[in-house]
Amino acid sequence: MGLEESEVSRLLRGDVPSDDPVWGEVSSFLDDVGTVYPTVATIAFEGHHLAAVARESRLVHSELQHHRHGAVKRLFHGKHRVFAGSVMAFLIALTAGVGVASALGINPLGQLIAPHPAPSSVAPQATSPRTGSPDPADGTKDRESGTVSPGTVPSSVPTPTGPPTTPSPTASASKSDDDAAKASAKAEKEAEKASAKAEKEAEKAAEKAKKEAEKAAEEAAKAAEKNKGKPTPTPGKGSGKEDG
Amino acid sequence: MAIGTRFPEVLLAARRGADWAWAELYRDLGPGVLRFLKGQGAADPEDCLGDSFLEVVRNLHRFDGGEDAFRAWVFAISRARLVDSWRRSERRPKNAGGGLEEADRHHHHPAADGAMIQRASVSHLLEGLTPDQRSVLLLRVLHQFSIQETAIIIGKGEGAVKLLHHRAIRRLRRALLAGRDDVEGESWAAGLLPSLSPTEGA
Repeated sequence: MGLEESEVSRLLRGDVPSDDPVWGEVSSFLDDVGTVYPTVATIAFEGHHLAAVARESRLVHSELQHHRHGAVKRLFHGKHRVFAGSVMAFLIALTAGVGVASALGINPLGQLIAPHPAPSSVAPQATSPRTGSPDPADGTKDRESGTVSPGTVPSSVPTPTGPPTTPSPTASASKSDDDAAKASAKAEKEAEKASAKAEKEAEKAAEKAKKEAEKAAEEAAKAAEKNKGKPTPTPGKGSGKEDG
Repeated sequence: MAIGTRFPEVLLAARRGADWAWAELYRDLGPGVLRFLKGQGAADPEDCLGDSFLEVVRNLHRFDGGEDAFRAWVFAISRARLVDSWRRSERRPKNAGGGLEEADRHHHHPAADGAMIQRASVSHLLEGLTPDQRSVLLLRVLHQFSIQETAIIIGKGEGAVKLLHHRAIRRLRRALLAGRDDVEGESWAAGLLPSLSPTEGA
């Protein structure tokens, strides 16, 4: 006695198969179920139920909010604390680094994209403090290897009178910008120092020469006074006395 | 009575804890749920209804769907509470009429005899069904749930729901056929009367 879904649907709709009177009874029974179990009004206990529902709703709402706040707090507790702290520190350091690099005029993104660019500035050239003139042959820069040989001249230094600088030959190209900037500043200071020292020495030498010239002039004047009343001495004697 | 196009707004307000929204949802679904619980023979259908709505409040943040889905979800929660109440009382539902016999005994009014016989016969026939068959039959017939929604409510597959529904109808047909055979010439349902009012014959 198979029952098709379509027959069940017909029964539920109230369409009774005409050939079987028992199906008619089943259909009327299903109709009766609706009358036996009518919809019941809930007014009698609605207030009680709704009060409980409102109370529970407020509890659940506050719990959910507390749970959301707790989730944020838990992020900074226990094992998560170290991780979150590390991430935050990394981000702060990265931001500060990028800011400093931008302030120095270095493009940090360009450094990241092209890890071995040719350095834009060169290390200071070594010069002899004695000569005070740049010596291009003194130091050379190996652009291909990205290393700087000792004694390279900074193009920005106008008076390269400082002592020879010795940048590390193993300095990598990625560091070269910072190193070059530092070396340039150092070279400038040293050049200024050397210039001041040279000026002092020159002044001292000039004073010394002046004093010697004055001394020589005084001696010459004394000698002339002595020779006033005397006959003109022979050069051999005169020179011999003076020398004595 | 359905909430209709306002349902998303009401649901959102209920999620935020608005009392008016909960009142609206309760008035819309409460009577139907109570009817279902009574039909299933719940020992205390009013308490079961209250528990069901508390459960709805606790789990509303997990629900996602429209009004029909919400209705089926509330009924599923109600049925779960009903099963819990059966387990607590450690007994299966004995009488889907929910105290019909006792009520009939106390209110035996001649004018109401026809209605009482009808109710008694219906509840007697429903008692012959298994709880799952009765659930499927009531959900499909009384509450007009689809096969899919019924499957969600009772926590079974759609195929199992169809099978339960067909078996319930076949069993009803057999019971009705047996009643016709047993009571020739008089209403078979009248035979139920002595069992409903045992003191009446004495």
